[in-house]
Amino acid sequence: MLRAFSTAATGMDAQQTMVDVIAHNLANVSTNGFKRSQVNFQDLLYLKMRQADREVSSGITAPSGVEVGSGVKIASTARVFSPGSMESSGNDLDIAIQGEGFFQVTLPSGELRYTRDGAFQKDSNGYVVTANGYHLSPGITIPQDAMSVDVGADGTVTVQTPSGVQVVGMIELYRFANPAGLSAEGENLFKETEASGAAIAGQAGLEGYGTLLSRYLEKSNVQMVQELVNLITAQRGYEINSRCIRTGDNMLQQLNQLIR
Amino acid sequence: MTGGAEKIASGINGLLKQLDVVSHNVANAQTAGFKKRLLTFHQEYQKRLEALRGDCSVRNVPIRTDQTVDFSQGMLIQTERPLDLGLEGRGFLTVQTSGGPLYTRSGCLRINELGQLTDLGGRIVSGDNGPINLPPGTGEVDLQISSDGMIRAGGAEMGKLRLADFGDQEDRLIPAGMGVFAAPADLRPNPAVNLKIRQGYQEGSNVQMVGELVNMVSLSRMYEANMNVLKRQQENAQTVLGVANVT
Repeated sequence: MLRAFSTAATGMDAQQTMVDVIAHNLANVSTNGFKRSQVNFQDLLYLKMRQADREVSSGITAPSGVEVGSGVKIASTARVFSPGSMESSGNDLDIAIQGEGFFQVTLPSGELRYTRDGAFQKDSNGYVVTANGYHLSPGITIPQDAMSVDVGADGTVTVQTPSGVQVVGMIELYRFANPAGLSAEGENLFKETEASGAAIAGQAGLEGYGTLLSRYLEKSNVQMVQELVNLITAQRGYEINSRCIRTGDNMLQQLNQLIR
Repeated sequence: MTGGAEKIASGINGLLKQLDVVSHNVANAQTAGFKKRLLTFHQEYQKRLEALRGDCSVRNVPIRTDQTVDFSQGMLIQTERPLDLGLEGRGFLTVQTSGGPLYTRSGCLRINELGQLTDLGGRIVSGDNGPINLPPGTGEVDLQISSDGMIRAGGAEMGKLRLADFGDQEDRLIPAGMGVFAAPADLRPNPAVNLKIRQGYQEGSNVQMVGELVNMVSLSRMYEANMNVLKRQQENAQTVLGVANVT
Protein backbone atom coordinates (compact mmCIF):
# COMPACT_ATOMS: atom_id res chain seq x y z
CA MET A 1 0.00 0.00 0.00
CA LEU A 2 2.73 2.37 0.94
CA ARG A 3 4.57 1.70 -2.32
CA ALA A 4 1.44 2.83 -4.14
CA PHE A 5 1.73 6.17 -2.33
CA SER A 6 5.20 6.95 -3.61
CA THR A 7 4.37 5.61 -7.07
CA ALA A 8 1.27 7.81 -7.30
CA ALA A 9 3.31 10.74 -5.95
CA THR A 10 5.79 10.34 -8.83
CA GLY A 11 2.81 10.39 -11.20
CA MET A 12 1.48 13.58 -9.67
CA ASP A 13 4.92 15.22 -9.71
CA ALA A 14 5.37 14.31 -13.35
CA GLN A 15 2.00 15.77 -14.35
CA GLN A 16 2.78 18.87 -12.31
CA THR A 17 6.04 19.35 -14.23
CA MET A 18 4.09 18.76 -17.44
CA VAL A 19 1.79 21.64 -16.50
CA ASP A 20 4.86 23.79 -15.70
CA VAL A 21 6.27 23.12 -19.17
CA ILE A 22 2.92 23.79 -20.86
CA ALA A 23 2.61 27.06 -18.92
CA HIS A 24 6.08 28.10 -20.13
CA ASN A 25 5.21 27.23 -23.72
CA LEU A 26 1.92 29.14 -23.57
CA ALA A 27 3.57 32.15 -21.89
CA ASN A 28 5.93 32.31 -24.89
CA VAL A 29 3.29 32.06 -27.58
CA SER A 30 4.33 35.49 -28.92
CA THR A 31 8.08 35.28 -28.41
CA ASN A 32 10.21 35.64 -31.54
CA GLY A 33 12.21 32.57 -32.42
CA PHE A 34 10.84 30.58 -29.42
CA LYS A 35 11.00 26.79 -29.70
CA ARG A 36 8.53 24.84 -27.57
CA SER A 37 9.54 22.10 -25.15
CA GLN A 38 8.00 18.66 -25.17
CA VAL A 39 8.06 16.43 -22.11
CA ASN A 40 9.10 12.79 -22.50
CA PHE A 41 8.25 10.35 -19.71
CA GLN A 42 9.95 7.13 -18.73
CA ASP A 43 8.94 4.36 -16.33
CA LEU A 44 10.98 3.79 -13.18
CA LEU A 45 12.74 0.68 -11.90
CA TYR A 46 10.80 -2.52 -11.46
CA LEU A 47 10.87 -4.65 -8.31
CA LYS A 48 11.30 -8.20 -9.55
CA MET A 49 9.40 -10.31 -7.10
CA ARG A 50 9.70 -13.39 -9.26
CA GLN A 51 11.94 -13.81 -12.32
CA ALA A 52 10.19 -14.61 -15.59
CA ASP A 53 12.58 -17.36 -16.64
CA ARG A 54 12.95 -19.18 -13.35
CA GLU A 55 12.73 -22.95 -13.25
CA VAL A 56 9.41 -24.16 -11.88
CA SER A 57 10.45 -27.80 -11.83
CA SER A 58 13.14 -29.69 -13.68
CA GLY A 59 13.26 -28.50 -17.27
CA ILE A 60 10.14 -26.34 -17.04
CA THR A 61 10.55 -22.55 -16.91
CA ALA A 62 7.82 -20.12 -15.99
CA PRO A 63 6.49 -18.10 -18.95
CA SER A 64 6.17 -14.86 -17.03
CA GLY A 65 7.27 -13.34 -13.76
CA VAL A 66 6.05 -10.81 -11.24
CA GLU A 67 7.41 -7.29 -11.69
CA VAL A 68 6.01 -4.23 -10.01
CA GLY A 69 7.14 -0.83 -11.25
CA SER A 70 7.77 2.19 -9.07
CA GLY A 71 6.30 5.04 -11.07
CA VAL A 72 7.31 7.55 -13.67
CA LYS A 73 10.02 10.08 -14.19
CA ILE A 74 10.64 12.79 -16.73
CA ALA A 75 13.27 11.50 -19.14
CA SER A 76 13.79 14.76 -20.99
CA THR A 77 12.19 18.03 -21.95
CA ALA A 78 13.14 18.05 -25.60
CA ARG A 79 12.98 21.24 -27.59
CA VAL A 80 11.08 20.93 -30.84
CA PHE A 81 12.86 22.84 -33.57
CA SER A 82 9.98 22.97 -36.05
CA PRO A 83 9.72 26.32 -37.84
CA GLY A 84 7.55 29.07 -36.44
CA SER A 85 5.28 31.19 -38.62
CA MET A 86 6.74 34.16 -40.49
CA GLU A 87 5.44 37.63 -39.70
CA SER A 88 6.19 40.60 -41.89
CA SER A 89 7.59 43.68 -40.16
CA GLY A 90 8.79 47.05 -41.40
CA ASN A 91 12.28 46.98 -39.88
CA ASP A 92 15.30 46.71 -42.18
CA LEU A 93 17.20 44.64 -39.66
CA ASP A 94 14.45 42.12 -38.84
CA ILE A 95 15.63 38.81 -40.29
CA ALA A 96 13.90 35.42 -40.29
CA ILE A 97 15.72 32.15 -41.03
CA GLN A 98 13.83 29.90 -43.42
CA GLY A 99 15.23 26.47 -42.69
CA GLU A 100 18.09 25.32 -40.45
CA GLY A 101 20.64 27.44 -38.68
CA PHE A 102 21.12 29.96 -35.88
CA PHE A 103 22.50 33.46 -35.60
CA GLN A 104 25.57 33.78 -33.41
CA VAL A 105 25.81 36.59 -30.85
CA THR A 106 28.58 37.58 -28.45
CA LEU A 107 27.88 38.37 -24.81
CA PRO A 108 29.77 41.25 -23.13
CA SER A 109 31.87 38.58 -21.40
CA GLY A 110 33.01 37.30 -24.79
CA GLU A 111 31.03 34.04 -24.64
CA LEU A 112 29.10 32.93 -27.72
CA ARG A 113 25.39 32.27 -27.82
CA TYR A 114 23.00 31.21 -30.58
CA THR A 115 19.51 32.39 -31.38
CA ARG A 116 16.68 32.17 -33.90
CA ASP A 117 15.36 35.58 -32.83
CA GLY A 118 16.18 37.87 -35.73
CA ALA A 119 14.92 41.17 -34.31
CA PHE A 120 18.20 43.05 -34.67
CA GLN A 121 18.82 46.77 -34.22
CA LYS A 122 21.61 49.28 -34.72
CA ASP A 123 23.33 50.62 -31.60
CA SER A 124 24.83 54.10 -31.22
CA ASN A 125 28.11 52.98 -32.84
CA GLY A 126 26.37 51.36 -35.78
CA TYR A 127 26.97 47.77 -34.62
CA VAL A 128 24.21 45.29 -35.36
CA VAL A 129 22.93 44.13 -31.95
CA THR A 130 20.06 42.14 -30.40
CA ALA A 131 17.35 43.79 -28.31
CA ASN A 132 19.57 43.32 -25.23
CA GLY A 133 22.56 44.93 -26.87
CA TYR A 134 24.53 41.73 -27.59
CA HIS A 135 26.60 42.03 -30.76
CA LEU A 136 25.90 39.86 -33.78
CA SER A 137 29.00 37.78 -34.47
CA PRO A 138 30.95 38.07 -36.71
CA GLY A 139 30.21 41.75 -36.19
CA ILE A 140 28.63 44.00 -38.76
CA THR A 141 28.86 47.79 -38.60
CA ILE A 142 26.37 49.99 -40.38
CA PRO A 143 27.92 53.33 -41.43
CA GLN A 144 26.43 56.42 -39.78
CA ASP A 145 25.27 57.92 -43.06
CA ALA A 146 23.42 54.80 -44.26
CA MET A 147 19.93 55.57 -45.50
CA SER A 148 18.68 52.00 -45.73
CA VAL A 149 19.97 48.51 -45.09
CA ASP A 150 19.29 45.37 -47.11
CA VAL A 151 19.95 41.80 -46.10
CA GLY A 152 20.10 39.32 -48.96
CA ALA A 153 18.93 35.72 -48.79
CA ASP A 154 22.55 34.57 -48.62
CA GLY A 155 23.42 36.90 -45.77
CA THR A 156 25.04 39.78 -47.67
CA VAL A 157 24.38 43.09 -45.97
CA THR A 158 24.31 46.08 -48.30
CA VAL A 159 23.67 49.70 -47.37
CA GLN A 160 22.47 52.68 -49.37
CA THR A 161 24.65 55.70 -48.66
CA PRO A 162 24.68 59.10 -50.37
CA SER A 163 27.86 57.98 -52.12
CA GLY A 164 26.28 54.80 -53.50
CA VAL A 165 25.62 51.17 -52.60
CA GLN A 166 28.25 49.27 -50.57
CA VAL A 167 28.51 45.82 -49.03
CA VAL A 168 29.30 46.06 -45.31
CA GLY A 169 29.47 42.40 -44.37
CA MET A 170 28.04 38.92 -44.39
CA ILE A 171 25.70 37.36 -41.80
CA GLU A 172 26.75 33.76 -41.19
CA LEU A 173 24.54 30.95 -39.95
CA TYR A 174 25.63 28.22 -37.53
CA ARG A 175 24.42 24.62 -37.44
CA PHE A 176 24.66 21.86 -34.84
CA ALA A 177 24.70 18.07 -35.13
CA ASN A 178 22.04 17.89 -32.39
CA PRO A 179 20.15 21.18 -31.88
CA ALA A 180 17.97 19.55 -29.18
CA GLY A 181 21.11 19.28 -27.04
CA LEU A 182 21.54 23.07 -26.86
CA SER A 183 21.12 24.55 -23.42
CA ALA A 184 18.45 27.27 -23.12
CA GLU A 185 19.85 30.29 -21.31
CA GLY A 186 16.84 32.62 -21.42
CA GLU A 187 16.66 35.90 -23.41
CA ASN A 188 15.96 33.75 -26.50
CA LEU A 189 19.58 32.51 -26.41
CA PHE A 190 21.00 28.97 -26.58
CA LYS A 191 24.41 27.80 -25.48
CA GLU A 192 26.53 25.13 -27.15
CA THR A 193 27.00 21.97 -25.06
CA GLU A 194 28.76 18.63 -25.50
CA ALA A 195 25.38 17.08 -26.34
CA SER A 196 24.68 19.54 -29.14
CA GLY A 197 28.08 19.25 -30.78
CA ALA A 198 30.25 22.12 -31.99
CA ALA A 199 28.79 24.98 -33.99
CA ILE A 200 29.54 24.71 -37.70
CA ALA A 201 29.60 28.02 -39.53
CA GLY A 202 28.24 28.33 -43.02
CA GLN A 203 26.68 30.63 -45.56
CA ALA A 204 22.93 30.97 -45.74
CA GLY A 205 21.45 29.17 -48.70
CA LEU A 206 24.15 26.52 -48.97
CA GLU A 207 23.55 22.80 -48.37
CA GLY A 208 22.00 22.27 -44.93
CA TYR A 209 21.59 25.96 -44.10
CA GLY A 210 18.39 27.97 -44.40
CA THR A 211 17.98 31.22 -46.30
CA LEU A 212 17.49 34.62 -44.74
CA LEU A 213 14.25 36.48 -45.21
CA SER A 214 14.69 40.20 -44.70
CA ARG A 215 12.02 42.32 -42.96
CA TYR A 216 10.34 39.24 -41.54
CA LEU A 217 10.41 37.73 -38.05
CA GLU A 218 10.07 34.06 -37.13
CA LYS A 219 7.40 33.77 -34.45
CA SER A 220 6.98 31.10 -31.77
CA ASN A 221 6.29 27.51 -32.88
CA VAL A 222 3.90 26.86 -29.96
CA GLN A 223 0.66 25.14 -31.06
CA MET A 224 -2.08 26.40 -28.78
CA VAL A 225 -4.49 23.54 -29.47
CA GLN A 226 -1.84 20.87 -28.77
CA GLU A 227 -0.83 22.59 -25.53
CA LEU A 228 -4.45 22.82 -24.33
CA VAL A 229 -5.04 19.14 -25.09
CA ASN A 230 -1.88 18.28 -23.14
CA LEU A 231 -3.10 20.48 -20.30
CA ILE A 232 -6.39 18.59 -20.05
CA THR A 233 -4.57 15.24 -20.11
CA ALA A 234 -2.15 16.42 -17.40
CA GLN A 235 -4.98 17.60 -15.19
CA ARG A 236 -6.88 14.32 -15.50
CA GLY A 237 -3.67 12.35 -14.99
CA TYR A 238 -3.05 14.30 -11.78
CA GLU A 239 -6.60 13.62 -10.61
CA ILE A 240 -6.40 9.90 -11.32
CA ASN A 241 -3.09 9.57 -9.45
CA SER A 242 -4.53 11.35 -6.44
CA ARG A 243 -7.35 8.82 -6.60
CA CYS A 244 -4.76 6.05 -6.14
CA ILE A 245 -3.52 7.74 -3.00
CA ARG A 246 -7.01 8.11 -1.64
CA THR A 247 -7.76 4.44 -2.33
CA GLY A 248 -4.51 3.39 -0.65
CA ASP A 249 -5.47 5.52 2.32
CA ASN A 250 -8.87 3.85 2.55
CA MET A 251 -7.30 0.40 2.41
CA LEU A 252 -4.93 1.27 5.26
CA GLN A 253 -7.90 2.53 7.23
CA GLN A 254 -9.60 -0.86 6.74
CA LEU A 255 -6.40 -2.54 7.90
CA ASN A 256 -6.28 -0.44 11.05
CA GLN A 257 -9.88 -1.25 11.81
CA LEU A 258 -8.97 -4.93 11.95
CA ILE A 259 -7.04 -4.43 15.16
CA ARG A 260 -9.15 -1.65 16.58
CA MET B 1 6.14 -6.90 26.62
CA THR B 2 7.57 -3.71 28.01
CA GLY B 3 10.39 -3.89 25.47
CA GLY B 4 7.88 -3.94 22.65
CA ALA B 5 6.03 -0.96 24.12
CA GLU B 6 9.27 1.02 24.29
CA LYS B 7 9.94 0.39 20.61
CA ILE B 8 6.38 1.34 19.63
CA ALA B 9 6.68 4.49 21.72
CA SER B 10 9.88 5.48 19.93
CA GLY B 11 8.15 4.78 16.64
CA ILE B 12 5.24 7.03 17.65
CA ASN B 13 7.66 9.76 18.72
CA GLY B 14 9.36 9.49 15.36
CA LEU B 15 6.01 9.85 13.58
CA LEU B 16 5.15 12.91 15.66
CA LYS B 17 8.51 14.44 14.68
CA GLN B 18 7.74 13.68 11.06
CA LEU B 19 4.43 15.47 11.46
CA ASP B 20 6.35 18.50 12.77
CA VAL B 21 8.68 18.38 9.77
CA VAL B 22 5.80 18.05 7.30
CA SER B 23 3.91 20.96 8.92
CA HIS B 24 7.05 23.13 8.92
CA ASN B 25 7.66 22.39 5.24
CA VAL B 26 4.06 22.99 4.21
CA ALA B 27 3.92 26.25 6.21
CA ASN B 28 7.03 27.42 4.30
CA ALA B 29 5.85 26.38 0.85
CA GLN B 30 5.91 30.03 -0.26
CA THR B 31 8.92 31.29 1.68
CA ALA B 32 11.69 32.63 -0.57
CA GLY B 33 14.95 30.77 -0.21
CA PHE B 34 13.47 28.08 2.08
CA LYS B 35 15.10 24.66 1.97
CA LYS B 36 12.87 21.76 2.98
CA ARG B 37 13.66 19.48 5.89
CA LEU B 38 13.83 15.73 5.54
CA LEU B 39 13.37 13.18 8.30
CA THR B 40 14.93 9.73 8.10
CA PHE B 41 14.01 6.86 10.38
CA HIS B 42 16.61 4.31 11.37
CA GLN B 43 17.38 1.94 14.17
CA GLU B 44 19.95 2.68 16.81
CA TYR B 45 22.70 0.44 15.50
CA GLN B 46 25.06 1.17 18.37
CA LYS B 47 22.56 0.06 20.95
CA ARG B 48 21.75 -2.94 18.81
CA LEU B 49 25.35 -4.10 18.90
CA GLU B 50 25.43 -3.64 22.66
CA ALA B 51 22.22 -5.59 22.95
CA LEU B 52 23.78 -8.44 20.97
CA ARG B 53 26.81 -8.52 23.22
CA GLY B 54 24.76 -8.10 26.40
CA ASP B 55 21.31 -9.53 26.56
CA CYS B 56 19.77 -11.42 23.66
CA SER B 57 16.63 -9.40 23.08
CA VAL B 58 17.68 -7.45 20.01
CA ARG B 59 14.07 -6.34 19.74
CA ASN B 60 14.64 -3.70 22.42
CA VAL B 61 16.03 -1.31 19.85
CA PRO B 62 14.32 2.06 19.73
CA ILE B 63 13.68 3.89 16.49
CA ARG B 64 15.68 7.08 15.92
CA THR B 65 15.03 9.97 13.59
CA ASP B 66 17.50 12.35 11.97
CA GLN B 67 16.53 15.68 10.49
CA THR B 68 18.49 16.92 7.48
CA VAL B 69 18.08 19.82 5.11
CA ASP B 70 17.52 19.31 1.39
CA PHE B 71 19.51 21.96 -0.47
CA SER B 72 18.09 21.33 -3.93
CA GLN B 73 17.44 24.36 -6.14
CA GLY B 74 14.09 26.13 -5.94
CA MET B 75 12.39 27.72 -8.96
CA LEU B 76 13.38 31.31 -9.73
CA ILE B 77 10.37 33.63 -9.64
CA GLN B 78 10.64 37.01 -11.31
CA THR B 79 9.69 39.91 -9.04
CA GLU B 80 11.56 42.74 -10.86
CA ARG B 81 12.55 44.29 -7.52
CA PRO B 82 16.19 45.41 -7.98
CA LEU B 83 17.27 44.13 -4.58
CA ASP B 84 15.68 40.68 -4.91
CA LEU B 85 18.52 38.30 -5.71
CA GLY B 86 17.72 34.78 -6.84
CA LEU B 87 20.56 32.31 -6.30
CA GLU B 88 21.05 29.76 -9.04
CA GLY B 89 23.49 26.95 -8.38
CA ARG B 90 25.33 25.78 -5.30
CA GLY B 91 26.38 28.27 -2.64
CA PHE B 92 25.16 30.87 -0.14
CA LEU B 93 25.22 34.59 0.56
CA THR B 94 27.18 35.49 3.70
CA VAL B 95 25.75 37.77 6.38
CA GLN B 96 27.63 39.15 9.36
CA THR B 97 26.33 38.90 12.91
CA SER B 98 27.92 39.49 16.28
CA GLY B 99 28.17 35.72 16.63
CA GLY B 100 30.07 35.24 13.40
CA PRO B 101 29.13 34.69 9.76
CA LEU B 102 25.82 33.10 8.83
CA TYR B 103 24.80 31.79 5.42
CA THR B 104 21.53 32.17 3.55
CA ARG B 105 19.86 31.39 0.22
CA SER B 106 17.27 34.10 0.67
CA GLY B 107 18.46 37.02 -1.43
CA CYS B 108 15.81 39.60 -0.51
CA LEU B 109 17.97 42.56 0.50
CA ARG B 110 17.42 46.16 1.52
CA ILE B 111 19.53 49.23 2.21
CA ASN B 112 19.71 50.34 5.86
CA GLU B 113 19.95 53.92 7.17
CA LEU B 114 23.77 53.78 7.06
CA GLY B 115 23.73 52.94 3.36
CA GLN B 116 24.76 49.30 3.88
CA LEU B 117 23.19 46.27 2.22
CA THR B 118 21.30 44.14 4.71
CA ASP B 119 18.97 41.17 4.54
CA LEU B 120 15.34 41.35 5.67
CA GLY B 121 16.36 40.61 9.26
CA GLY B 122 18.69 43.60 9.34
CA ARG B 123 21.88 41.52 9.24
CA ILE B 124 24.65 43.12 7.19
CA VAL B 125 25.51 41.33 3.95
CA SER B 126 29.22 40.58 3.58
CA GLY B 127 31.14 41.60 0.53
CA ASP B 128 34.63 40.32 -0.24
CA ASN B 129 36.06 43.24 1.76
CA GLY B 130 33.57 43.65 4.58
CA PRO B 131 30.13 45.32 4.45
CA ILE B 132 28.96 46.83 1.16
CA ASN B 133 28.76 50.59 1.77
CA LEU B 134 26.72 52.57 -0.71
CA PRO B 135 27.06 56.34 -1.19
CA PRO B 136 24.30 58.33 0.56
CA GLY B 137 21.26 58.77 -1.62
CA THR B 138 21.73 55.52 -3.58
CA GLY B 139 18.38 53.93 -4.10
CA GLU B 140 17.46 50.35 -5.00
CA VAL B 141 16.86 51.24 -8.63
CA ASP B 142 20.42 52.56 -9.06
CA LEU B 143 22.04 49.22 -8.33
CA GLN B 144 23.13 46.72 -10.97
CA ILE B 145 24.14 43.31 -9.68
CA SER B 146 25.75 40.97 -12.19
CA SER B 147 25.64 37.20 -12.10
CA ASP B 148 29.03 36.93 -10.37
CA GLY B 149 27.84 39.05 -7.46
CA MET B 150 29.52 42.35 -8.43
CA ILE B 151 27.45 45.37 -7.35
CA ARG B 152 27.63 48.51 -9.45
CA ALA B 153 25.90 51.86 -8.90
CA GLY B 154 25.86 53.98 -12.05
CA GLY B 155 28.83 52.10 -13.49
CA ALA B 156 31.08 52.41 -10.40
CA GLU B 157 31.94 49.18 -8.59
CA MET B 158 30.66 49.14 -5.01
CA GLY B 159 31.89 45.72 -4.02
CA LYS B 160 31.41 42.04 -4.71
CA LEU B 161 29.12 39.81 -2.65
CA ARG B 162 30.91 37.13 -0.67
CA LEU B 163 29.52 33.84 -1.97
CA ALA B 164 30.25 30.76 0.12
CA ASP B 165 30.35 27.16 -1.11
CA PHE B 166 30.54 24.24 1.29
CA GLY B 167 30.81 21.53 -1.34
CA ASP B 168 29.71 18.14 -0.04
CA GLN B 169 29.92 19.35 3.59
CA GLU B 170 26.61 21.17 3.09
CA ASP B 171 24.79 18.64 5.25
CA ARG B 172 26.73 19.84 8.30
CA LEU B 173 25.05 23.25 8.19
CA ILE B 174 22.62 23.91 11.03
CA PRO B 175 19.40 25.87 10.41
CA ALA B 176 19.48 28.92 12.68
CA GLY B 177 15.97 30.24 11.97
CA MET B 178 14.87 33.23 9.85
CA GLY B 179 16.29 31.68 6.70
CA VAL B 180 19.93 31.53 7.77
CA PHE B 181 22.26 28.60 8.40
CA ALA B 182 25.18 28.43 10.79
CA ALA B 183 28.34 26.47 10.08
CA PRO B 184 30.07 24.43 12.82
CA ALA B 185 33.30 26.05 14.04
CA ASP B 186 35.59 23.77 12.07
CA LEU B 187 33.76 24.18 8.75
CA ARG B 188 35.11 26.91 6.45
CA PRO B 189 33.54 27.67 3.09
CA ASN B 190 35.31 28.11 -0.24
CA PRO B 191 34.43 30.91 -2.66
CA ALA B 192 31.50 29.74 -4.74
CA VAL B 193 32.20 29.09 -8.43
CA ASN B 194 28.97 27.40 -9.50
CA LEU B 195 26.66 30.14 -8.25
CA LYS B 196 24.91 32.77 -10.36
CA ILE B 197 23.10 35.78 -8.88
CA ARG B 198 19.94 36.74 -10.73
CA GLN B 199 18.82 40.29 -10.00
CA GLY B 200 15.06 40.79 -9.97
CA TYR B 201 14.30 37.18 -9.07
CA GLN B 202 13.52 35.30 -5.87
CA GLU B 203 14.44 31.66 -5.34
CA GLY B 204 11.16 29.95 -4.41
CA SER B 205 10.82 27.33 -1.72
CA ASN B 206 11.91 23.82 -2.80
CA VAL B 207 9.02 22.17 -0.93
CA GLN B 208 7.09 19.65 -3.05
CA MET B 209 3.49 19.78 -1.89
CA VAL B 210 2.65 16.37 -3.35
CA GLY B 211 5.49 14.69 -1.43
CA GLU B 212 4.60 16.40 1.84
CA LEU B 213 0.90 15.55 1.63
CA VAL B 214 1.64 11.93 0.71
CA ASN B 215 3.93 11.77 3.77
CA MET B 216 1.10 13.20 5.84
CA VAL B 217 -1.35 10.56 4.61
CA SER B 218 0.99 7.63 5.23
CA LEU B 219 2.21 8.91 8.58
CA SER B 220 -1.30 9.34 9.95
CA ARG B 221 -2.12 5.75 8.97
CA MET B 222 1.14 4.49 10.49
CA TYR B 223 0.38 6.46 13.65
CA GLU B 224 -3.04 4.83 13.85
CA ALA B 225 -1.53 1.39 13.29
CA ASN B 226 1.11 1.95 15.99
CA MET B 227 -1.50 3.18 18.46
CA ASN B 228 -3.68 0.15 17.78
CA VAL B 229 -0.78 -2.22 18.38
CA LEU B 230 0.01 -0.42 21.62
CA LYS B 231 -3.60 -0.67 22.71
CA ARG B 232 -3.68 -4.38 21.96
CA GLN B 233 -0.46 -4.91 23.88
CA GLN B 234 -2.01 -3.16 26.84
CA GLU B 235 -5.14 -5.30 26.60
CA ASN B 236 -3.03 -8.45 26.41
CA ALA B 237 -1.05 -7.40 29.45
CA GLN B 238 -4.28 -6.72 31.30
CA THR B 239 -5.64 -10.15 30.34
CA VAL B 240 -2.54 -11.86 31.71
CA LEU B 241 -2.71 -9.89 34.93
CA GLY B 242 -6.44 -10.57 35.14
CA VAL B 243 -5.76 -14.31 35.22
CA ALA B 244 -3.71 -13.88 38.40
CA ASN B 245 -6.44 -11.70 39.92
CA VAL B 246 -9.30 -13.73 41.33
CA THR B 247 -11.81 -10.80 41.56
